[in-house]
Parts: sequence; structure tokens; C-alpha cells
Amino acid sequence: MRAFPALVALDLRATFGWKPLGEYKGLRDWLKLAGAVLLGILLVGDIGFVFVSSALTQYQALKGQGLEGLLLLNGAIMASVAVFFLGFIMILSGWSLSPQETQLFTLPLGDRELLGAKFAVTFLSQAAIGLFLFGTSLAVFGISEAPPPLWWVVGLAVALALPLYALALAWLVLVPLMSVARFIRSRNGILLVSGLVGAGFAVAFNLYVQNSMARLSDPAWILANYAGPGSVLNLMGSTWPPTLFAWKALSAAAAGRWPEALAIGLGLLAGGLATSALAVLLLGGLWKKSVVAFGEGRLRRLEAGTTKAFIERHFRRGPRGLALFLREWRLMNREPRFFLNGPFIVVLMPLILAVMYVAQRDNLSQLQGLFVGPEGRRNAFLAAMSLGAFLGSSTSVAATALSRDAKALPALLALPVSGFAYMMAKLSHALAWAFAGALIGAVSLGLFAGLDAVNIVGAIFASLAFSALANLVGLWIDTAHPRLAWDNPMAALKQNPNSVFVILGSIAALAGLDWLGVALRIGTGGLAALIGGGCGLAFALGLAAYSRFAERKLSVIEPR
Amino acid sequence: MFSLEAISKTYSGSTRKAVDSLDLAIGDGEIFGFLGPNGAGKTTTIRILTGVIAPDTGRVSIDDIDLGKEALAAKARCGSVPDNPELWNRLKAREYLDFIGDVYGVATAERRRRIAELAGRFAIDDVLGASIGTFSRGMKQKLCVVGSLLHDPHNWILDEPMVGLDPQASFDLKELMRERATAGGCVFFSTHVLEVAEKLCDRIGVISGGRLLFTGSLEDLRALRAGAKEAGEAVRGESLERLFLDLVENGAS
Repeated sequence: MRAFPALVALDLRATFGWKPLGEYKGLRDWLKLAGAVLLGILLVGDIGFVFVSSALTQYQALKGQGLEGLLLLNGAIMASVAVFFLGFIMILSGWSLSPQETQLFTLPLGDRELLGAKFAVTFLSQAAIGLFLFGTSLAVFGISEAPPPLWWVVGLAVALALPLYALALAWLVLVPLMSVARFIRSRNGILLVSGLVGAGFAVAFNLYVQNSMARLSDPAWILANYAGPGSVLNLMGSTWPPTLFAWKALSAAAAGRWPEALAIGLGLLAGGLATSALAVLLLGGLWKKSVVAFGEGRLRRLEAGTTKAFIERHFRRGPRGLALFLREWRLMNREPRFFLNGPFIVVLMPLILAVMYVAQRDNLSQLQGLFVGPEGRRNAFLAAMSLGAFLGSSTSVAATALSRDAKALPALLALPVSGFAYMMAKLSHALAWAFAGALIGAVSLGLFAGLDAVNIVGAIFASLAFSALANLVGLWIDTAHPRLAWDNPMAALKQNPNSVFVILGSIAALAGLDWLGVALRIGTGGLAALIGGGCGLAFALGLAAYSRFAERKLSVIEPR
Repeated sequence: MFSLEAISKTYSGSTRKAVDSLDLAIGDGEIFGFLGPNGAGKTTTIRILTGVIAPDTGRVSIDDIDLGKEALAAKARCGSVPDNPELWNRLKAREYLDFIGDVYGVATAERRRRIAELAGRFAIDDVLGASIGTFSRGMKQKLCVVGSLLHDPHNWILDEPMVGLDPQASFDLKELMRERATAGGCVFFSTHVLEVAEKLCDRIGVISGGRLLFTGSLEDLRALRAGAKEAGEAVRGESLERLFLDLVENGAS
């Protein structure tokens, strides 16, 4: 296993574009790192706020019934479920025989060593998510109940152990599945399965959280779902024993029963490591076979004698701009790793909101009171505009446009196409998704808030103008600072700071616009004109300046 | 017809010149082979010639069109085969060829005729409906070759074109290169396979460390090395391989 640390480092580098601190040289490198860390803190703070608030609400409701300890069981279940599904998607989306993988298979490395490194990388990323989710429950309980310091140590051991079991299960399900299911052994199959699993998980997770939040004020519901042998929590805990043991370890630690707490907590961690090692030992050979089988392409040949008819049917001249657009559209939306982490949000987010609506219908109906009267109409307009604008500007299509094409740049730049035309195809692609996002977001929230047709159209107009501007800014940033060196396409998209910057920047700008909209006290027509017109004008002016910038930048770019 | 005058290029973040004061002229009706060890500057020169990267100094012209000033017109006169065909895995072969056809503005009838002819010649006409991701490396290379000739360019630039091709396709490609040169076109290609250069090229260029060490025919190279031998230098033989190794080790003298 001497090569194991090097393999883990290699996989980390390929998956996340991660590089050791020693390789950060100039001021620019350090500034980039500082920016990424800052964005990370902001993101974690943002999401953390939501989870801490949720844990606090649960804690207060459970405390009223004397069941506060169950918060930890709930946290353990949530973390395990999240790590299982997110790990499942991460493992599945990386299931391919890349050139790097092919080369690794030729080296004198054992199948188990290779799979072990993959397992370690999924653990490092998913454990962070598990630690984060479980950590919020731990923190709320720990700060509120002030248990002895050793309780925190048991908590940390448990938090690190839970993802091990969940990931071992994900690998144990996926490896046999990928070995037998020919259907999934195709890129499109992966796209479909990952998409459905991802959407299903996000929707179910959201349904669970929203349902819990909506009913925490009902003591009977709490007793039925959190306590007693037939409760949902007990059922889930019994189904997945590591969560039950986690809860027992922490309960024992909180009660000062140290031998029991340490035995269960450390036993859980040791068991997690043993289960993971066993999964790797059992699955190594089968995993390699299934990955190799995945690389076997099925070449579709035309029937003999049909070539001439095929050529006549399929080849015809079309406009150059459309050809550039279609290339861009197909290369992104047919690549599962790009689509699922980009435009898919336009589909996924409305689904989550619909679930939220179904689960919290009673609470949300009260919200509709905010949308009554002239001020209410303004609030409704701003909410509809904001959702549409957020969906339209968070697809990462424009903000990763040049980075995604890094490998193809030498071929593309040799074509007789101006830099501006090439980048406009990318902007058009981003705007197509922006239009879908603006339409879906503004219409759905507009209808929920009771906006009339004219105001909905106004909200669509304003959100589309905002999205167009946000996408242009994203395109500009990625043109100025493209990520040209990567091995794994994910490094060009999901781990591209340009994308995170645009998404968070859009959220901040929308918050500012909403504040301004309320402060200015103008009607919805005025808001549509102000936001739509202002963003539209900025977009037009920006586009004129961008055309010169894109030409200049692409003429001096140095593809790797 | 290509002309490169006093071309130099240093990549950002590097202090070493990838190409240093390179002068080269290639006429019509000529096959020019570009040879050099790894990292010699072959791909950088080809990228400059195809307009992918701009040189720091110097001038490139294609059919007397200045590439720096009229890039699109100059590029339209060329067809190029890149060194890496692993580019378009998410497209179908027909979509790729239609894309190239649209970019170069190839009319429908002409497009269909040329695809039928070229795809048939390289035996990929029965996989035009398949996804490029399912192609072998050699098939992708053949597809790039077909795409590069779709608009019947006067100038043809190929970076390591023989890599991954089976013997039949390699033979067909060499035949096609000769046909195009005979018809008055200009063919420029880089290769590591010295036997190919020996048998196919009208002239060769040898580059090492970014500097062009030699341009001329194989006979010119032999004469040059014979002169070096008379001057007391060690010359190990008459084959292009020997002459090439001598030249790269000792430099032009």
C-alpha cells in the first residue's frame, strides 16, 4: 500500500483540481486561494444558517417534550442519508474509463489499492458534508445542554464514523449494479439515473425537512415521529443501526456513562473503518471489471447500402451561428457531469419549491397575506422576479464557457470564426437556459403570490434582463480568467470559482435590488421598467464592450 | 503557400523561447515535413501557422494573406488536423462534419459529395451516425482528416497525422497528401516517423530547441552532413534517422 497516499493525492487533484499548498507561488495564486476560501466560508455560513435554524427549532420543540436527545438521532439519520445519496451521485458521475484511469490500470497497482484511493476521496468530500450536517445538531445540543468536554470527542468520532458506513453502502450497491446493468453502462443511462437519484433525493430530503418544520408545534406529531417504538425516527434508526449507536454513544456521554460512551463511540468508528476496508477488499476486482466494461463503446454502424441515403438525409448547409450554438448546446447538455451541475438547477429548484409548497401548504398560505394590497403586490413582484432571476443566472453555463472548452481550443481557434462569434454562441446557450429559468421561476412564484398576467410578464422581463446581465458578467469573468488546465471536466465546472462567484454575486445583487425595490415604494410597472430597463441597458452596453474584449483576449490566449 | 518570417514565441510564465527567430517558406505543390525531437517547437510552430496562438514577433502569411491582419480570410484557406483528436466525444460524426461544413460555408451538394468521397476513402462512411465517443483513436483521426478537407482547402496542415492510423489508412493518407500537392496544394505536416518523411516529403525542416536547424531536401541534408564529415565531425550514416540525430546533436554547421 505504499502508493496509496500518492493515489489519493492524484485522485483529489483530478477530481477537485486541488493542488498542494507548496505549489502556490505568486501573489495571484494566493489571492485566488484566499478568494476561494472566502467564498467557501460565505457558502458554508449561508447553508449553515439554514441548518442551525432548523436544528434550533427542532431542539426547542423536542425539549418541550423532554426528548431533546432525539435531535442527535435525527441529525445522525440526516447526515447518513445525505452522505449516502450525495456519495452515490458522486461515485456514479465519475464512473468512466478516462485516459488517466486507463493508464493507472497498466501500472503495478492492485485493484483494491485503486478502489481504496477512490473510496478515500469520496470519504474526504462526503465526510465534510456529513460532519457539517451532523455538526449542526451536535453544536445546538452541545451548546444548549453543556455536556462534559469529552462528549465533544465522542461526537467527533461518531461524526467521522457515520459517513464511512453510508459510503460503504453506496459502493456496495453501485459496484454490483454497474457490473450487471448494461443500461446504466452508457453515458445517457448515467445521466438519467444520476439525475433521477439527485432530484429524488433533493425532493425527498426537502419534503422531510419541510414536513418536520411544519409540524414541530404539534406535540402529538412529535411523539408519533420522534419517540416510541413505532416512531419514524426509531424505524429509520433500526433500519440503519450506525445512527442508533451514534445516538446511544452520545446519550451515554451526556449522562456521564464514559465506559459505555467510549466503547460505543470508538467501536462505531472502528467498525466504520473495518466495514469500509471490507467493502474495498470485496469489491476491488469487480469494480475494475465494471469500469473496464464501461469503456467498451458500442459503435453503431449504418446498414450496408444505406450510406448514400444517410448522407442525403442528414447533411445540409446551415447558418454558421446556429452551428456554433448547436455545438455548444450538445457538448454541455449531453455531458452528464456538466448538465447535472449546471442547467439542471432550472428543473430541480422548481421541483424542490413545489415540494416545499405541498409540505408547508398551511404555513405558506399565511405567507400569501404578505402579497395583499399595493405593497403586497410589490412584494409578490419582487419575489417572482428574484426567483426567475436566480434560476436564470445560476446555471453556470456562461461562467464556465471557455473553461469547459479548454481541451478543444487549439482546434477551435484554427477555424475561421471570430472570437466574438464563438463567444456569442456560448452566451446564446446561457441565455436560452436563462429564459427557461426566468420563465419557470417568475411564473410559478407569480401564480403562487396571486400576481395578474401583466405583472407576471413584467417579472419575466425583469428577471430575464437581470439573468442576461449576470450571464454576461459570468462570460466576461471566464473569458478573463478561464480555467484551462484540468484533467477532470468537473474542475472546469463545479470546482470553477468563476461559477461560485457569479451565483453568490447574483444572490447578493438580487437581495440589494429587493431592498431597493421595497425602499423606493414604486409600483410594479416602475419596478419592471427600472430593473428590466436598467439591467437591459447595462447588458447592451456591456455586450458592446465585451465584443472588443473577447476578440482581444482570444487573440492572445495560450491553450494548453 | 505559407511564409513565416522571423517568428519568435515565449509562452507566458516561461523564460525559454518555444520558437526562436524562425524563417520558413513553403510553396505550392510541395509536401513539407517538419521534424524535431519532443518539445522542439513543432506544435508551437503549427499553432502559430494555424492562427491558434499569436507570435511575439514576426509575420505569418498564407497565400499572401497576412494572418495577423486578416485572420479569418487566412484561416479559411487552410484545413488543419490537430495533434489531439479526442475533442468532440459528445457529438455524432455527422454533427461534427456538418459543424465544420457550416463554419467553412460549404454548400449542401458539395458537402454531401465530399463527405461521401472522403469518408468512403477512409472507411468511416458506415459510422457517420455514431457518437464520436464510441470511436477508436484511429477513427477519430480519420474523422478529423475528413473534416479538414471538407472545404477543399488550398493549404493542408497536419500535426502528427499518422498517430493511431492503421496501415491502410496511413497509406491512404499519404496518397491523399501526394494527390493534393500534385494538384497544386501545399501540405505541411509534423511527424516523428522519419521513414514517412523520407519517402513522402519534397522538403523537410528540422527544428530543435525552438530553432530551425535545417530546411531542404534529403539530398541537401546528406550534402550538408558530408561537408560536416569532411570538416572532421562524426557522421554516423546516410539514413535520414542518422542524419537527423547528427543534426539535432551537433546543430547545423
